[in-house]
Amino acid sequence: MEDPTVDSILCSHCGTACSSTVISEHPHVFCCHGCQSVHHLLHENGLSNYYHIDEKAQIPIPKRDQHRSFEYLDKLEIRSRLIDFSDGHIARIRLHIPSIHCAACVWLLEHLYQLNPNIGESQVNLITKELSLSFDERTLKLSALIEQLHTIGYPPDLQLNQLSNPSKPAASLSRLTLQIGVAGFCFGNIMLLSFPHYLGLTESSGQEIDTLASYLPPLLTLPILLFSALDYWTAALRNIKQRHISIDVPIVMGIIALFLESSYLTFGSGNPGYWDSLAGLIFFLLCGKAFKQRTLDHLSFDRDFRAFFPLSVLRHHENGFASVAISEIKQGDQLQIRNQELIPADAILKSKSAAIDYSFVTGEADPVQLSADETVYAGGKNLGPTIELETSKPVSESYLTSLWNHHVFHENPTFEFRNLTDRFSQYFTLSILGIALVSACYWGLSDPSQSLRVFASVLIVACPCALALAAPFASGTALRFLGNASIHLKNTRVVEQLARISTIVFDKTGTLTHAQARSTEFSGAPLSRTERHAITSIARHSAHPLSITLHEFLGNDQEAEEPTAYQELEGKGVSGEIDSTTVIYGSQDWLRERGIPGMENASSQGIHLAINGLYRGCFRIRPRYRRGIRELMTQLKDNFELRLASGDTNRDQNTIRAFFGKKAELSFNQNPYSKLQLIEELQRNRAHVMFVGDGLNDAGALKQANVGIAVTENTSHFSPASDVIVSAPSLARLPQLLQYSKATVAIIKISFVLSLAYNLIGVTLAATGKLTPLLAAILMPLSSITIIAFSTSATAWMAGRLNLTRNQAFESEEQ
Amino acid sequence: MSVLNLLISLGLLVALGFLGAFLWAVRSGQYDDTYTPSLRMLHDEDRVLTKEHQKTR
Repeated sequence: MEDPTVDSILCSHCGTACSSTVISEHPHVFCCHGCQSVHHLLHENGLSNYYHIDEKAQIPIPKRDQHRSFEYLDKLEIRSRLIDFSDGHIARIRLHIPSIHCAACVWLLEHLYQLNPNIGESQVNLITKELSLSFDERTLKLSALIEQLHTIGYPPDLQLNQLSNPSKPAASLSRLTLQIGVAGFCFGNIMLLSFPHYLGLTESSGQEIDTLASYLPPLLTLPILLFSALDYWTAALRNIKQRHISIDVPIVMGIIALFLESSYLTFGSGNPGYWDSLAGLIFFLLCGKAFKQRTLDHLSFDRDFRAFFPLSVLRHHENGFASVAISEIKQGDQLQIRNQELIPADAILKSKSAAIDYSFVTGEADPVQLSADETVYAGGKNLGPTIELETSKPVSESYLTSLWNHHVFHENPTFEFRNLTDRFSQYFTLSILGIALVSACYWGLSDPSQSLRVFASVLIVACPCALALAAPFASGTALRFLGNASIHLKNTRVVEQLARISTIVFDKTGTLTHAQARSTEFSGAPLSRTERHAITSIARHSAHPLSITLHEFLGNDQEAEEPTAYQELEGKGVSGEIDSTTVIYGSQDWLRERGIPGMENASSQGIHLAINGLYRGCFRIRPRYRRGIRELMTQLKDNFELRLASGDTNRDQNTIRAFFGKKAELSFNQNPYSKLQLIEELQRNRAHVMFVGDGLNDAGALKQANVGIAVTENTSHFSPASDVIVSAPSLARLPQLLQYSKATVAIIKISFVLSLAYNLIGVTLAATGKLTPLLAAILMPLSSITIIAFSTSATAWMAGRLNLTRNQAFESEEQ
Repeated sequence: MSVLNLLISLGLLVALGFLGAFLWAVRSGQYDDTYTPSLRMLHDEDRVLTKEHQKTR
């Protein structure tokens, strides 16, 4: 539809094609005034380098919003929640800015002081998309600072849940780093001190090498036991209290046995002991833990409805409307909601009519038409002209948010699933204890002095270091590869859950279909250029969402003209005249009322069009299905039970039936609760359910399902709480994801067998009383390293076989 | 063997110094962001050039 010559002119600031308006300013061209003013601003302040640092530095400038003010941010209670530190003079603030994406962004945001002298030092973290800056709060208001960031195209993401619950930097990872550092230090030094023993120097020279060299290792082990291994102690204690055996129990058993045996050897007979093995064990275990705990800082898996709402809303007071924070809204407040804005609380409509899009809350694809005094629900998006509302409930008690009072949101999910390692280690621990006891008894008959030492030796050598490392390294690698393929798993536990899935339930709107894009098709004789022009000129005047869609569909390559005899009837249609061409479009009834012949046979759906009194055809607007859905379903159909739970009506039933096959059960008109109940029912029938959804209406089902997958167009945007976040183009890789998880679990099981083989060798040596510190020092790291190497490389190899290594972006280019 | 004792304690002291440096680095947040600084170091020079460029104009 667009003219190719216009298409090739790219805006000098944001790099998008200038379609409608072109502001020329030699040698630069801008697509809008926003881009132009930012370009000027940067140029005047010596920041033109922004354009040279990175080709990708192309951020569209959002349309300037005259009415939106950030004054509410200057209120003390909101301010104090946003600002990290303030001494009345200098304030520090951390902001999450989703549009940060390249080196140029970093450069510009770290040179903000050149734009505004009141801004001090600013620092960007590109990975977490965070900007932390200090500013002089006596001369620069917080609202003005946020406004400034908005102007240059970096609007910060200020969210309600952030306000009610000030975020703290995650300390767990840096704690783990410290623990590894300490363990590594002690391990290295103990190894160094034990080195003469490895070479047999002590025996050959006939004298003990040194008192310091033999008493330092136990001393160096103390920080490891007390600081680095702290989490294992607490975890094992908790497990014993709860009477279930996880991998931590045999590990702690091994640690205790190693410590006692080594103390006895070192302090009793001056022997070197197993200090190096003990330190190495904990060091390796911590490394495995770090590998597993990959940070996904830029993704948020636990967001609830509050993250979805805007921070402020326009509220009526004595002289007009002013923006206030959502938390301040009370029952009976008069609110103003503009086009594309969200309704924050259940309310009564005060304007004459409104079109509300509930797709995110209910899954209904079509906007709902409402008239005055009807109830609008929180979470709906206003389409069309500005409306006024009177709130009937506070934000926290609305229909939508009450879903979060359901018990699934309050359960502690930690213990509902026991991972593979834990289930395995249960039998492992018991059999090791059995072997240790039997061999101790056997030795007790022949040589009682040895029996206690053999008991300890078995526990030492059977300490499941390699076993504990297999799963973290295999699933950690899997997470990494999946992350590259735009499939982000919450943690390694999800991999094992995925491998057990038997039933997959899909949501429709926003999951199988595009969230925004819709396909419009016109059935009837093709329209001429002048006719198209006439229709768009008239549609431009209507704020109704269907008119807007029509306007976008037909394009606007000519200057729009003013229609004469323009008429719009709410819920019916529009008519008008351009250059003596009369255009009428709207519902079937509307055209019949206007006396268009041949309307009796037309369908009741779609937008009908008549030009100069003659019926021309019908526009149908349909949600567009994502690419690859058919292939996806064909691949899944044979191995899994497929179901659909949609909040929409069953009008697309035939299309969906074709995708899902004959067997699949399709449920329509589902509300958030019934989706959740559907999952519960499936789970009662012993199915392992995966739910694939996108909206707030899926939040309950995503939480209840064994694996909840949230589909999102942009991973930095909102997605409800889930186990997996998939970017929309990667949805077609679902079969690979499931296959890959199964393969990963198989690899973990093979690793278990391998580590058991090592243990068998070790236990045989220990039970026959042949284990020496040197043998232990070789066997332990050797088994750990082989397991790590095997599980990592096998998982990586599987990723290559399943084509997960290739980036989706390249793949779509090839197609 | 007292020389060995001395060497071991000296070696441990040096190592402890490095451990201290590591602890300090972690606590002061140097490991929080391991990517952005690599971009930042390329920028500084450009900025100076731009400023001078502005002055001459």
